Amino acid sequence: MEERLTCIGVESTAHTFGIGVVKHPPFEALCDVRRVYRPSSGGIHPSEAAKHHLQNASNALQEALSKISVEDIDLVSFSRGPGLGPCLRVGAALARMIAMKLGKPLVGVNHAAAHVEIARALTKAANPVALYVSGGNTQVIHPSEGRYVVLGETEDIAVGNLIDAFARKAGLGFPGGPRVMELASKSSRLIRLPYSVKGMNVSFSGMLTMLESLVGKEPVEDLCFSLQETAFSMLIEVSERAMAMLGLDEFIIAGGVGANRRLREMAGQMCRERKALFLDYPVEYYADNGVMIAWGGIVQYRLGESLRVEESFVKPRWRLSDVKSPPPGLYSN
Amino acid sequence: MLSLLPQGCTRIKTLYQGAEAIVDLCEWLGREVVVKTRVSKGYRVRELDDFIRRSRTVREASLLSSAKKAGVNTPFVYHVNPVEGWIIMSYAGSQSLRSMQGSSIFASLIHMLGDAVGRLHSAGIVHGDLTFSNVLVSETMLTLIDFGLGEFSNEVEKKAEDVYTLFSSLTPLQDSETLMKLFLEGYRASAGESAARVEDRLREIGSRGRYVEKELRRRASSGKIGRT
Repeated sequence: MEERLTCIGVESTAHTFGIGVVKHPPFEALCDVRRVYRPSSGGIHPSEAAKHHLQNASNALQEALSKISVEDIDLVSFSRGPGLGPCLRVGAALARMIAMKLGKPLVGVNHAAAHVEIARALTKAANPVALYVSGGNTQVIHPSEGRYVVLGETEDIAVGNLIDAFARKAGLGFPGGPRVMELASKSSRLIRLPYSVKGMNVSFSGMLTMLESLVGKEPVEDLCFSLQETAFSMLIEVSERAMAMLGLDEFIIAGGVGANRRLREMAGQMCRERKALFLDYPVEYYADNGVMIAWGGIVQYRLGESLRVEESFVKPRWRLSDVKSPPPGLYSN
Repeated sequence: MLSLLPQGCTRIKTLYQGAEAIVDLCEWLGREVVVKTRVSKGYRVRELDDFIRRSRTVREASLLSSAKKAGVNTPFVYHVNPVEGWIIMSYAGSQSLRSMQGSSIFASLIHMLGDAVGRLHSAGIVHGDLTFSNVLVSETMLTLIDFGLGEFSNEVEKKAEDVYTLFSSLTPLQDSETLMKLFLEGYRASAGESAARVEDRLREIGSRGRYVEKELRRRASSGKIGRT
């Protein structure tokens, strides 16, 4: 049994500023503080989001520290990338400050890896294929021995980006996911949209162009329904292809778009048909949060990773394939 | 899972079960044939499922025939049913290029494959999944199978991706550089004027991938092929 560790993690890649604390083993989330930036108009403005994070950093930390005792903290982690530079720097600065103040090790966590690892921890998936879907990312990932293999990904925009951009055009506000899901449930009329799957890659820009051109010409419920059915079918198809290719029978979804009920329903159906398991977990952990960064900090620290403060610069374009992955199942108790 | 076979077909064995389709070796009208059936997916709404299976079945059958016209060996298409999503075609044996690795004629097979892919591309056909297992070998003849991800296209990008996929299979081999050269030699001879542009694009593809760090990008574009 490994030594018991408590890690405080700071998330700030995009719209969410989060602080989480995780103790392990056994896995226990001690606190989960979130402050979510909502743009007054349009999508995320990186500098405005960073300003929001800066304004909330201190009160979020206070709230987190009211739930745990500072002496228990063994480790400090932060979301190092990929993400929006100005936002990442706020979280990194706070994490550095805590680490220096407490004299504890600092760990830089890859945001995508953290999404996958929190899903593995909560589902106890031993050897899954992961579909990582959010506002900025769409990847089919296999956490294999020692590293993350990106099997497929979007060739242009992320699926969350498709949803948000369409929602903006249709006047549904940001983030678009919840409204699109709600409206889609009121329709069952499929409008044919570009279905672009190439091997294990997908492409959404053609679909976005067509959807945008149909706003105002077709009922918005039908557009939402068609968007979800078409885009999610593409995602489930490439995920299934990855599972078939690797001969794996566990499937998890990570990232904010995973909060969509229809996507998870399709995942369950796909897995049932191939006698595989779709492993679901509480919906609040699909979205960005500090808990996953705290957990990612523990995972990476156990793999021997830590950073000196002077080398802890952020990596806005940090690719997942450059990150070490823990061996299957080892840390998932 | 077994697929519902076309009438008159008796299954001998299932050759391959992918995510999208099941490929069975069958007896049909007294001969051995391959039946490829695209299975219906319960997660897709019916309308979308029908459309996808129908259009892909028709496209694949048509690619198989067009490739033949371009002088590339492919299975003969005997019968197609787009509504049920199956194609009946001739059986081209079970020996794939994968099993020929290490054989003395492997290099010359790669050269021949270059010629075949060049022919496809000059006819505006992209295979879409050029792996060793999709190239069958009998005697010294090559047969290209599984055009399930193929399309009719003259885009340089797509042709380069075809070659890139094959090169990813060659990369781990000991004499990979020689083999790639041989492939390109065969390719140039039959692909015509677009060959040079495809080769340029091929080098560029290796340097892509989202979030590729700048340094790696430079290294990749300086000629070393391989995605990071």
